[in-house]
Amino acid sequence: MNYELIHNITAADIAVRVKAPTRSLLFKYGAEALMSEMVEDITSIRTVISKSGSIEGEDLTLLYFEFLNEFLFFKDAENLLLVPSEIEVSSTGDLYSCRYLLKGEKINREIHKFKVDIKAVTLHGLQLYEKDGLFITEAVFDV
Amino acid sequence: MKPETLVKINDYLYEIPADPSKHMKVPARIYGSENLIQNMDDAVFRQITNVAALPGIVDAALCMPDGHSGYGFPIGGVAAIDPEKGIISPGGIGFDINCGVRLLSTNLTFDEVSPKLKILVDRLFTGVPSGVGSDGILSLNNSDFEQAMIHGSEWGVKNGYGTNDDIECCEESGKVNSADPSAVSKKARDRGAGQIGSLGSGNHYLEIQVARSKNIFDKTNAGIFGITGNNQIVIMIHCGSRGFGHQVATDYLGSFAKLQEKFGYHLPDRELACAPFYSEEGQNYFHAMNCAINIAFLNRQMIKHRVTEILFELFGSKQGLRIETVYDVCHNTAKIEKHSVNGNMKKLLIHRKGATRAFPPGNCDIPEKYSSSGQPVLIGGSMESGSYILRGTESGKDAFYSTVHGSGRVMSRHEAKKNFNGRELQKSMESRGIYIRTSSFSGLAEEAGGAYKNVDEVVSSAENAGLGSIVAKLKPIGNIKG
Repeated sequence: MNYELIHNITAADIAVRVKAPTRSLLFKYGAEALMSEMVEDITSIRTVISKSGSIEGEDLTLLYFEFLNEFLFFKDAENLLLVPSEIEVSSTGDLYSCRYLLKGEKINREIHKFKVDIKAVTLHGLQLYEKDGLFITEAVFDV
Repeated sequence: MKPETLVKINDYLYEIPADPSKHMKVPARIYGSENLIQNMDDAVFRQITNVAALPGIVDAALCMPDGHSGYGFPIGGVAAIDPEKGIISPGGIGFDINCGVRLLSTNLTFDEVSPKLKILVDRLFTGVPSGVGSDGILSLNNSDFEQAMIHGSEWGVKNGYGTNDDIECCEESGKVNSADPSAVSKKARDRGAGQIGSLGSGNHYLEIQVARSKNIFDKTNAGIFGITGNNQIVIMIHCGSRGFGHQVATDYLGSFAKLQEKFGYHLPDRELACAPFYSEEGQNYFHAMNCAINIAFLNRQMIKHRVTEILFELFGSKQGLRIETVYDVCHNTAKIEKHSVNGNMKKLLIHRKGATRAFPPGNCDIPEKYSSSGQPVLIGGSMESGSYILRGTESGKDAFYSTVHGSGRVMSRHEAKKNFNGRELQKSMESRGIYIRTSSFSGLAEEAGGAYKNVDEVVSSAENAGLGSIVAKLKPIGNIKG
């Protein structure tokens, strides 16, 4: 797994740190971390349904927040478990954009075993920074 | 490490004095026994210090004895904001808007229920949707959903899902005003319309409990609440506004975060992103948040209705079977209330995140039948330890009539999973007379009694701090975990 749990930030919720060599991979690994903390085995999610879209904004950290929250929206609104398939984060001037292709399937509780439901990605301690050639994020998920 | 500036005010109250270098506008006060304070995770003190920096905060940032670290506010955090000069913050309410507890009293006894306990729990587990991916009892079209956002529990009762007594016995009569669906995004509607009447996951539950005579500590007021002892069966429902509330909070938190420069706010935590209460943005959030409060009331109303159906299905042969709402309390809200500050009555916006309102006897905003007792306060303990009923008292004035909401975590979810095994816990609890069904054994381990503070010490601290008076303890015998 491309993430680690961070302790001593929150007792009630889940805090994760993700590192990646590119912004696009950072977003991808972040989404995989989110889904892995919710579903016991994300490889149990068959990739038979696709959702694509794009989001943009001037603040890359808030774009990450928005991107991860998309997964939680689809989970509740359409009963879909999705994993990131193709993610492209780019910037033009001050504007960042994220184009995404997510794949997955409808929740089937006979197949998909859940650890817990994640309600939201929070802004508490949310960070996105670059260090030693890696992009790093820290985020708290509300359980 | 606890802050060096933490000072003891009395045996159940500690204070971090206002420190301008940390942008604190008021002191931070933490209620609890010395043992609870010593064992609170350090992040609680950082988080309540941050709350003290909110624009417009009055008197002090408060943390209740069950306080533990969350995001933005600590869980157990309370902030009174002057709405004319101050803000509203989604992070001071939480994503699960109006997560709360409803308690149902019955005239069933342990002896009557015990032979059918497993059947009852199994029936509730299949009849009340729970866990990730569960649809609710109701799925509403947009028009009905908007009515539900405006009318809350009342919508349920008008549509045949309950009685007028249910409405009377809720905070705000199960419906806050100023709920305006036009402030709610399409995403929030899409996310929530199919989930009404579902428990959700995490620490949410539906629990069958017993009120034993030896655990009634205040017989007069227990009687007023319909709690008679004599091994009476009661049912506790703990859940909130589900994906609808989560999306309302997410929408506005994201948009407020982009506006902090415009408002001139420089807060120590982005989760505290806020807007002036009377700004267009602040009012839009308030109106949408009120919609989510009402949907949570309706959610618990629908679950009460389904529980009632199941109890009648299994125990309907009992002459005069009664299932009544004792009260329905909110944990995660911001409400306009009137409080006395330095001898003057002031209109304040009280943010409570993981804290319960506890109005005293004679308060005009509690049901007439509770005017002599004070508001029933329902404290959900862990699934192993039991829960409590308290009542609001005048001595809670300095805390803006707020008190604890549960035991409070002492162990993180990760630590709990390392220390407990869900399947073993289920077996162990059954051997102790608590039959439990769950959608997630991993989630069950996270909710083990050992992951929580000692609820007896928490409520005793609350009482000793003047944050209410203990009425009764309720012991679990059956539980459905989301």
